[in-house]
Amino acid sequence: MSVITVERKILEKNDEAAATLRTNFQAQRLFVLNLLSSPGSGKTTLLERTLEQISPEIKTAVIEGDVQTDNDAQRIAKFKAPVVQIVTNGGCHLDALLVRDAVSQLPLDGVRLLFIENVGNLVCPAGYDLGENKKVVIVSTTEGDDKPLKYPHMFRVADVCVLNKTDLLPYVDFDVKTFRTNAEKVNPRLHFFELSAKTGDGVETWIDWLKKQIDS
Amino acid sequence: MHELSLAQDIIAIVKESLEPQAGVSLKTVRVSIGEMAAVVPELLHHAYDALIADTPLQGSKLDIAIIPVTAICHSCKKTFGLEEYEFLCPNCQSSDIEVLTGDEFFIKDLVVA
Ligand SMILES: Nc1nc2c(ncn2[C@@H]2O[C@H](COP(=O)(O)OP(=O)(O)O)[C@@H](O)[C@H]2O)c(=O)[nH]1
Ligand SMILES: [Mg+2]
Ligand SMILES: [Zn+2]
Repeated sequence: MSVITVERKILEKNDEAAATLRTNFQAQRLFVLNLLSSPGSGKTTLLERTLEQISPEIKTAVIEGDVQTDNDAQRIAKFKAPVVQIVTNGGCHLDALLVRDAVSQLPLDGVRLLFIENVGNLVCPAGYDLGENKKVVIVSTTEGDDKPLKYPHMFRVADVCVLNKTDLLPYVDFDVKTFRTNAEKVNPRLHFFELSAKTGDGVETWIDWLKKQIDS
Repeated sequence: MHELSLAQDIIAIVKESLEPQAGVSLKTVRVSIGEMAAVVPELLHHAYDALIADTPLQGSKLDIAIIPVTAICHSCKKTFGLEEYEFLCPNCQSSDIEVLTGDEFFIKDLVVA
C-alpha cells in the first residue's frame, strides 16, 4: 500500500470557471445577482416586477435555470430583456460552466445588470459559485419562519434575503420578527427586504438598492 | 442528484491523479467534507459505488472524514466549535465571528496497492 497525495478541491473546476466569470463581469461593469429559493417563492415574479420598473433605464439581462421547461424565459422575454434559458434536465443546480455557456449567448452590449434565476432548491445551489456579485435568497411567507434554521447553509452563503408575498401575511402563520431573528442567527450580515412581488409593495426599496449597487 | 455530479467530479480528479502511476490499483479515496458543505456522505457513497461499477476503479471505496465547524471570535479572540448553526460567540455573544473550518470539500489522498 502507498499513498498518493491529492489535496484538490472537488469543486475546483466550478471555482475556476466562476473566478473567470467574475473577472469578466467586473471588466464589463456588469452587476450580477444569483437568485436562490424553493420552487414557487416568487423569483420569476420578482424579476418581472423588477424589469417593469428598472428597464429601459438600466439595461438588464436574465439567465433562467430550470429543471425542465422554458416557461420562465418566455415570461421574461415579454419585457424585451435579453434572456437565455438553461434547462438542466433534472440537474438540481446551476454551475459556473453552464452559466459561462449561457453568458456567451447573451447580447451584453450596454447591459449593466444580470440576474441568474437558479433552479428552485435551497440545498445544492448553495455550494456553487457562479461568479455573481451577490447571492439573494428569496423566501415567501407561505413557507414558515423557521426556513433559515432548516437550510442554514443557504442562508449563510447568501448576502441578501428577500421576504416575498408579504400581502399574504394576514392569512398565514408567519412571524416576520421570528424569521429575521432566525436568519440573523445563521448569518448576521444578511441584508433584508420585505416585499410583495404581486402588489408591488416594498419593491421600490429593492429597486433603489439595485440602482445603488450599479452606480457604485 | 447533487451527490451524483459530485461523485463524477471526484472520479475525474482521481483518474487524473492516477494517470502518471501506471499499474497501481486504487483501494481508497480519502475525502474530507466540512459539516456545512451540504453534502450527504451516505448519498456520496452510493453515487460513487454506482459510477465505478464495471470500470477500472471498481472495488475502490470512499473514506469520508467529517470536519466539524469551528470559528474564532474577533471580539474576545476565543476559538470554539459550533454545534448548532448559531453564529454567535458562546463566550461573549458577539456576532463578529469568523468560520475557520466546516466548509471543506476536497480529496486528501489516494491509497493504492
Ligand atoms: N400572493 C402572492 N403571490 C405571489 C407573489 N409573488 C409570486 N406569487 C405567486 O407565486 C407563484 C410562484 O411564483 P414564481 O415567480 O413562478 O416562483 P419561482 O418558482 O420562484 O420563480 C405564482 O403563482 C405567483 O403568481 C406575491 O408577492 N404574493
Ligand atoms: Mg421561476
Ligand atoms: Zn467572543
